[in-house]
Amino acid sequence: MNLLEIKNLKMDFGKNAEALRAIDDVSFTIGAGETVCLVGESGCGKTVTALSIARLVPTPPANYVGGEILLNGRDTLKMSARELQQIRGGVVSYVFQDPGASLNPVFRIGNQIKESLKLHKPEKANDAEVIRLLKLVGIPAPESRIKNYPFEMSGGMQQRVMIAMALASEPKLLVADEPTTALDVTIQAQILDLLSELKQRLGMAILLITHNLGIVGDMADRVAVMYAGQIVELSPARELLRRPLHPYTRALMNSVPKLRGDADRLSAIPGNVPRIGNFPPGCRFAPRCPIARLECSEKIPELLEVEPGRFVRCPFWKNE
Amino acid sequence: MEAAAPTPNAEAQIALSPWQIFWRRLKRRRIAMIGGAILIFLYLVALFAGFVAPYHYERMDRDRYFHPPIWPKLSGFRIVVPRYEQLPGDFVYREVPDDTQPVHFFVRGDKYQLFGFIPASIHLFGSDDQHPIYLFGTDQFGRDIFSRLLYGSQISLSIGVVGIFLSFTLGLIIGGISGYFAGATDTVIMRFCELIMSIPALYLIISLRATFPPGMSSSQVYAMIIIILSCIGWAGMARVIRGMTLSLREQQFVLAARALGQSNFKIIVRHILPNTLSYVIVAATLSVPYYILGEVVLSFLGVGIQEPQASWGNMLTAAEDVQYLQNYPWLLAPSAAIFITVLAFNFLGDGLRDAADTKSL
Repeated sequence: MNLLEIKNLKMDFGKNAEALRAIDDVSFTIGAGETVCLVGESGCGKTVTALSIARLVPTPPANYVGGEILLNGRDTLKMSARELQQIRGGVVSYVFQDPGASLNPVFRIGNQIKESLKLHKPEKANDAEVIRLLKLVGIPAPESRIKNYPFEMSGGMQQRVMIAMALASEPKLLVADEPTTALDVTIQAQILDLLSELKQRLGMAILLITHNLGIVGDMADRVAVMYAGQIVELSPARELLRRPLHPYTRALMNSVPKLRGDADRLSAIPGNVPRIGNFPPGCRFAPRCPIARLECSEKIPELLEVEPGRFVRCPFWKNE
Repeated sequence: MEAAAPTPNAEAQIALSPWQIFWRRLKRRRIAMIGGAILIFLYLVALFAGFVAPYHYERMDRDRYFHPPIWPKLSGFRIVVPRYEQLPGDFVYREVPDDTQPVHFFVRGDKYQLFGFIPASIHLFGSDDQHPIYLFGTDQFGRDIFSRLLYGSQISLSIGVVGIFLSFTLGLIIGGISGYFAGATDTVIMRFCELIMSIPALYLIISLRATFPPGMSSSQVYAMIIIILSCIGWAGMARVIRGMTLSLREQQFVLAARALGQSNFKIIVRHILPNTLSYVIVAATLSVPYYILGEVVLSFLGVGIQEPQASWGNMLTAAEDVQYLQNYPWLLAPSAAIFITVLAFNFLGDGLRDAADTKSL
């Protein structure tokens, strides 16, 4: 049994006539100890999918119309508020994009980590455990750091504190929503190294949301590429990077600037991600797709397994 | 990011906590500090009212109605108090020359209860019965206005603090719930707040007063005044806190707390409300005067603290009469006390607001 199984998840914002489909038929799995990357442009539904795992998208406005989110075999869509509180932080923990905003500005960081312990490991809610966690995430001199306020720390240190809070309860799954976007490049590398190292040591699974394909190569076992609320390609990371199949994935990888290229200009994908509620009929990438044909705008293509372990939502993936 | 090494120099590098910064900024505002010092002094005196006051608030001097203030004076190296005699006519008194008594300190006098439960009879100063010390004169029953002012301050000053505590607790929790849950909860609570705020406060106070039975003991009346004032006061606070909560709930640390499995109530109390604290402290300081004045109004109208218990409001009822006011202006002493207290609270509140405002210097 997989740790997380999302099956045909469909979620709307709003109801009835005003309903806007934000997640459309998303399915993927994460095995214990596995790292899965969720890749896509802004606004394609990565974050709402990740937040849905612990039902953190407020309902309303969100409205789950179909599918299942099986965490440890139990559907979080059917859980009571009390059960959800135990799942959150207990089984799945989150690390968000902007560490400065994720910490409460008026409390010392030691107390914030202790709050996490109190919720899920009340017998261990003491300074010694907080110091141990801070050491685990590589904060120097943790004994004096527990008295610090968030604003006294750098962004990288704040993100380490967030990771320490997320790890306090020893979750099975860590969801990291663009954990390095707000940090500068050297710190990004440190935080990612830390995540890989902690994953090895603690044996937890990671769902990493990113739009940085470089990170995918370093971290991921498998990758799910999302576009306009749908998964368009799902594949083992190495194969995807070596040979992307979906035209969108190819376009994404072409738009990564190369150090030793002849091109004068950055290549970009023409057009914009369609706005939610304004999706084109048929394949949603068709208007921007270099290999689109007439029939592409008629029917939404299926996500098909074209090679073992490789799923693509495009019938013409063989055409270059 | 090296931690500060334990060298003597390191202390300067450690960043100050938000409260330390707040305190530093406040210290630079002289008027606020003066206001604060006055308030500390007033509250200390109120706490030890029985000891500082030379007489009990009920004690009547039947020979000296409407007596003008008697101040001790220096005679050589001693502090003495002169004797006055009454002239025929309407409460006219004249100082008797060369008849003085030294003022004694820590003397035995009227019995009182320190802090409301320790029986005591030692007073800060006093003299004998023939040479009373009436610093602010006496009222129409021959009671020492200074002593009554001190006893009255116990009620008038504490009513503000207790009232603020009650109404702000209500306002914070209700406003926090309203803003955090938003939607229908928010609409219902806010319309109710507006309903309360749309009724003129004074009519509401008086009609609420009418729901309480007459002939209550003074401690009951005290509790009643606080409840009435808090019932009205929370609405304004709840509205502001609701607005702040609406913006705070969108902050990522609230999402982070939810992602940790924290309950909604604890998120409101532990994460959202503490972030409104600097506003709340300022608002509380600036609102205390309304509660003090509220008690004054109620007592002045005769529905508040009842005689012979002293409060600043019911002491002013004696000054209602223009005739009295003309002839015995010292009856207005409580209004001076109210004036000073309200001003001090406003000075302190303004300073707190400036110190909490990170945009000012």
